[in-house]
Amino acid sequence: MAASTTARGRPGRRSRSGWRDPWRLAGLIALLILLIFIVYPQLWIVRAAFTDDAGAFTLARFGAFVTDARFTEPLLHSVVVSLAVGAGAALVAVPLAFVMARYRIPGRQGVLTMLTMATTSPPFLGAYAWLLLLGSGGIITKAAREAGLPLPFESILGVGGIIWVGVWFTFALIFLMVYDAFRAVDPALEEAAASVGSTPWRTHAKVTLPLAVPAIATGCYLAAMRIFADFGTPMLIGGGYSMLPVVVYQNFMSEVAASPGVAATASLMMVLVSGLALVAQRRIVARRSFAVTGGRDQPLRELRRGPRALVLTGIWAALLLGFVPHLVVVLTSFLRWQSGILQWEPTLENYRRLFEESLQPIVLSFVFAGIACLIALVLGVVVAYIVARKRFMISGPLLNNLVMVPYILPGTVFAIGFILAFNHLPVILTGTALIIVVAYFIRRLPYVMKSIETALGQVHPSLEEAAMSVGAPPRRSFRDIVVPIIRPAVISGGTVGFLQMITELSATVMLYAVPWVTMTVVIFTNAMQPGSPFGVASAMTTVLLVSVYVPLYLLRRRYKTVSL
Amino acid sequence: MDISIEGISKAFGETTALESVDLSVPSGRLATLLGASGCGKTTLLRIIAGFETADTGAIRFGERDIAKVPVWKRRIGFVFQSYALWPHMTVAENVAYGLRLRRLSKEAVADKVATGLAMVGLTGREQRRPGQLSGGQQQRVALARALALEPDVLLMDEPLSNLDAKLRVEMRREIRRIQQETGITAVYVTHDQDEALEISDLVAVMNGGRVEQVGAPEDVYERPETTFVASFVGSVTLLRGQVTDDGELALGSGGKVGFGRPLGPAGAAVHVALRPEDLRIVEDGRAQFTGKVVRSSFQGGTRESVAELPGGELLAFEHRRSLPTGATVGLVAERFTVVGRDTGVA
Ligand SMILES: Nc1ncnc2c1ncn2[C@@H]1O[C@H](COP(=O)(O)OP(=O)(O)OP(=O)(O)O)[C@@H](O)[C@H]1O
Ligand SMILES: [Mg+2]
Repeated sequence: MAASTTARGRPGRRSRSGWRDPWRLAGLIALLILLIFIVYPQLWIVRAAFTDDAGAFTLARFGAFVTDARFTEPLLHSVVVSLAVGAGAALVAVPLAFVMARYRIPGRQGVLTMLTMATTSPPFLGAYAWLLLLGSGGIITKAAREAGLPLPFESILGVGGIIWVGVWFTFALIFLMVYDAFRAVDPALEEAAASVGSTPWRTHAKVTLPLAVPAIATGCYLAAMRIFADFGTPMLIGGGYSMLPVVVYQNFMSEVAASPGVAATASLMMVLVSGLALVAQRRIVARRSFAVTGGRDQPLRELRRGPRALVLTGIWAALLLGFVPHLVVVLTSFLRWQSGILQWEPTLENYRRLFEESLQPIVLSFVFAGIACLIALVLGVVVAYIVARKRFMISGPLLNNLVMVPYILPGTVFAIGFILAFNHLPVILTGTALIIVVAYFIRRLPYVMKSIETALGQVHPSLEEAAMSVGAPPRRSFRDIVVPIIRPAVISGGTVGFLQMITELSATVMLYAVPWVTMTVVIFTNAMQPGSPFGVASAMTTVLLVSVYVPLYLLRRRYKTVSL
Repeated sequence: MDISIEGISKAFGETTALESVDLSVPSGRLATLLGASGCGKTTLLRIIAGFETADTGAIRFGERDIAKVPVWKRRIGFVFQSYALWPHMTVAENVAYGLRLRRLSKEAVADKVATGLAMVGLTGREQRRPGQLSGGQQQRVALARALALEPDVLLMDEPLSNLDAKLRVEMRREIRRIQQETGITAVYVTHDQDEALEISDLVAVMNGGRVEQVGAPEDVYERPETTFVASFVGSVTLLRGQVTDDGELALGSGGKVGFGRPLGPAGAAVHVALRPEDLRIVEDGRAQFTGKVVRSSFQGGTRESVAELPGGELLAFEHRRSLPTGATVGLVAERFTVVGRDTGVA
């Protein structure tokens, strides 16, 4: 039957969608945005790093970076502090996560909620609050001095302080990841080990712990990177202990000895380190990812009285230390301050002044984060959809990789790129409010996009095909089928993105220009100046905390779990 | 509306999924695409639906070439293997969605939804979500949704494969009933031969991206044209050999068997397909085959045993009384098919 093959001459590789597919245009626009705001600024950093002050090509800066102690020292410091924080936070988090995952603990839901809250607390909050408590003029330091009690340290300033603050700032992150991993271990695996005569402790060491290694590695990586990229903490309580973000900031912003080239070189170092850290984390996880999601949930066992008291004490002590900053800030916001000294007198004065003098930063923070969040969502949906569904030969893989780049760019580095790239033609943004909005949405795009991509992975393509088969054109089926199904992920991804934007400091502090001042900038500048109105800063931090935790609470109530 | 498929080929990169497939389904008939996993059934169905484009070839619904018609204008109904019900809509909303797109009045939509759900026996479940239904119920919703728009063509991709054996039999009769009631032209993909034989007007047996034989279920079962079709549809013994000068079959192992009439031109290489139910035990010297029983299995109504012929060929046959292994039996074939084309066995 040599049938009439009418269409034999037609090109065989014609893709189903063709060039008229609106996603192609959307993809190209998204690609253009990513090229302008991710690639282009990074190129300017690279350029600055290879240019000497006279404008000629040079490799000298990199030479200096490995030989000159002014650079090797902060690099070493940053790495050491990050490792110490990762390890310290893991030491706190892993045992707690294990007992919480396996034993019946009263108030479990409350503890989990508080830990989720702890992971979204503003990055500089810990430093600010611990400074209020343990700074050289801090509440505890001063009280101890007056009472004649000797303290083992002068003040919190220095490397010890950074690590201390870092650990309590990040342990909740590790906890949540490891907790999920311990819950997911199939009890059958452990029963199998027990059935061949393994004692419980041996089983845990040989079976349970190794199964949780990927989660521990990921948690440590996230914790270490948070502190590595954090500018506020070392700036506030470093006390002369130099770390990379501070070096970058000072070399770039200093009015007397600014050297963009040095800052750019240090920036590249930071990117290099965080890139290497990501590679290391990926390797550990890839080498040991086995499927552990068994059929059964881990049963919760009872604890005897003694151990239970011990465990409860541990959990609540850790929570307390994690939330000391919040308590301090809220408390001091209701107390009177006089020229930087706390008077133990309750007052609402701080809030009155806040709303009279500094309402604008609050409004601006919300507006910036809100707009940036919406843009990130729209772009996140476009990129995620193209990556998950379309087989575009060039723009697909490009988008998929480019969008993740900001993931390894510390805020400081990001800001420098923006300033170098956008303070001259063809695109001038410095000094405008727009630069902050753009920085926010680009920085959060990877997170928003990933959460949407995950949700899209659960929308089987046949759901859209089914809509087309009953007469819905692609645009219609996207609107009626895809959007409603991914809505929860969009909302929670958007909310988490919003929270992180509203608490952003390290990029904002370099990018802002009067009058575009945000809450975080006000708090930071106040905390940096002795004798400034700490009460107002505390009141503003309290407002910031409320703006973070109310949305988070609503989200958690609505969708049960929130992934960060 | 009849469907005609001419010379459809499709490759995914290096894999050839379909090779010059021809098929025509007369209006109001149900055709099944039957074949092993990976033979291209889904690909062909998706090309008919418009989810994929063929590399070459043409598809017509009636007189109209639909190459340039996008899915949403083809007037098809599609039932997916995984049902693909929209989880955020109720049962009624799932069925109503396509009707709403047509801008029918509220009453008309409600009316058609009620009729559709009544037809598949789901009245009273309108407000449930798909997640609250059993597999069989979800399958019915998918069917009602596909039929609600009164499409020209109904396409089903292994719609019953997620159901248990008993429900599968029940549902396939249901599908056949509805197809006949509505008089819709349908294409049904399955790898289950019982399903295909029971419900189709037309079976297209596919193998490696080609259609090997198209015919009524009886034709395909009783007169397979290729060794693959013979072995895929029902159980069969294929005896391979050459036609001798006097029209008998010379087996590869040396034996010679006569079938009472010439099998074809002398010297031709042929296969003779023998169904177990076509063989009968004989006691006297009329036996065509004599062999030793090597195994025997009880299957309820009958027994199926396997006899090993002197040349080593294994012959499956049906009988009633029990036979000890090792016993010698004589068998005659009451019916047989000569299969000319060797396309391998399933
Ligand atoms: N999107 C695709 N990309 C690449 N190869 C594909 C794609 N779809 C199908 N194939 C290949 O084409 C061939 C036919 O696949 P198809 O899905 O049509 O088989 P099938 O007969 O429906 O099998 P099953 O009974 O398992 O569903 C297979 O080899 C398959 O691997
Ligand atoms: Mg298939």
